Amino acid sequence: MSLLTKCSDNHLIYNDSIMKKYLVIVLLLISVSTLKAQMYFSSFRMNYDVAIPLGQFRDSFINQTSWRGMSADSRWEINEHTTAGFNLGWQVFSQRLDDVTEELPGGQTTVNGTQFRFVNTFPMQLNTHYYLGDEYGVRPWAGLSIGTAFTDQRTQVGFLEMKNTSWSFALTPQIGIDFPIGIDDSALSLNLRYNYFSQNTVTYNYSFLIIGAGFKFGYY
Amino acid sequence: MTAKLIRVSPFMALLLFLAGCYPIGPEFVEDLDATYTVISDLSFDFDDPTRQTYYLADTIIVLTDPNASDTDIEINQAAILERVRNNMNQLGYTEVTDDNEANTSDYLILVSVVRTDNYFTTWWGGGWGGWGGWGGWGWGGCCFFPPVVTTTNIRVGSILVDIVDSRSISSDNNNLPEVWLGIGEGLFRGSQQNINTRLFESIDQMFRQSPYLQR
Repeated sequence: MSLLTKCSDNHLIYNDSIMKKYLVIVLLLISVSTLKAQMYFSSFRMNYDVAIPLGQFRDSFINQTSWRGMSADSRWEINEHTTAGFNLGWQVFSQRLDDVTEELPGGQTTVNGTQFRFVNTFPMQLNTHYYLGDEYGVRPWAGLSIGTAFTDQRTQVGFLEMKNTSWSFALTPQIGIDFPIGIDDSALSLNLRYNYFSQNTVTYNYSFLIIGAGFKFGYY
Repeated sequence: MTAKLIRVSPFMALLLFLAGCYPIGPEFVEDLDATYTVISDLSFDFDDPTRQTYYLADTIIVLTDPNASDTDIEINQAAILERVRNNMNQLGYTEVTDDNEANTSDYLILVSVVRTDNYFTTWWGGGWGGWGGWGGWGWGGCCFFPPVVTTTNIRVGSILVDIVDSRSISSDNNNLPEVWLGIGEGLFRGSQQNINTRLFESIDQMFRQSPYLQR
């Protein structure tokens, strides 16, 4: 019994010493990573976005370019060339189509008239980007956003409105370039983003190309 | 004052946001016109070659709201019936004109016109008093203008063309075996000529978008 107690005490002493070592290592790691993080800039970006419908979305529903869109993007630097963050966006597509005849689901009713079509998309994604060039110079970058998107699609004919809302898997490969303006790490930014929102409530996926122009606010 | 503005600003932002979500809409009265056709009985065989004749009821049923002050809707009833007749004839049907032989026709056609009044009361001003109790009504609110109350009537008109299967009409049953329904709907606004022109266009369209009626 006493031997067991002794063994147990030794074990406790041994554990205590290991714990202290781990604690020191963890504290060192935290301080090093904090120091490292403070060496780089993070950024918040605001964009004005123009979107061009593509694929079946363009062929089946709206083919007009959307001039109403904006997005916000926050990025934290992991190292000198890589960031991780999240982005939110809003893009409105709309189109007027005269004298359209459309059969409603079920095949029993057909409606004709001037159609007003709308699609509002709201992507919410996590992202990662890789940057070329120097921290304070012109920096081309490429990245990928993955997340979800809420889409509200409506068709109005006369006093009738057909509505379809959905949540989709949202994938957005993108490229861009930052032009520094000489104030801290701020820059003008141009980007090209391909949005692909897959969903199954209509017969096509939402895909469109965004041309974005915005401002990058850099901060420590 | 500042607190009120802060409370109101999310609402204004929401209004701007909603306006931004749907940036286009009808600009002219005609933009709200729509024509519907409904196959009332999906099992009905429109291709049946033995169905060649129709009887067109010579009276249009006109329905207005019970409390409407003006019930004379001044549509050209004879012209509307003539338009329906022309469309049926162009599709290849033959009209049965003798009332006594109406029950021998393959189809019975009934035309009706419905006008409905939709009243909306809107007001603006007086410190947003009506929106969830913010501020107060009238001069005590945040703003310097008195409230303006407006009552608007959105008057909607519809023309209905029913095709009834004459062969299935039973004297024991009050329900008519409707097989097809055409509806032209729009704002009941504009000159009489404008309303009639839109009605005619709608009648033509309901037959145009139903190619299965062709003989």
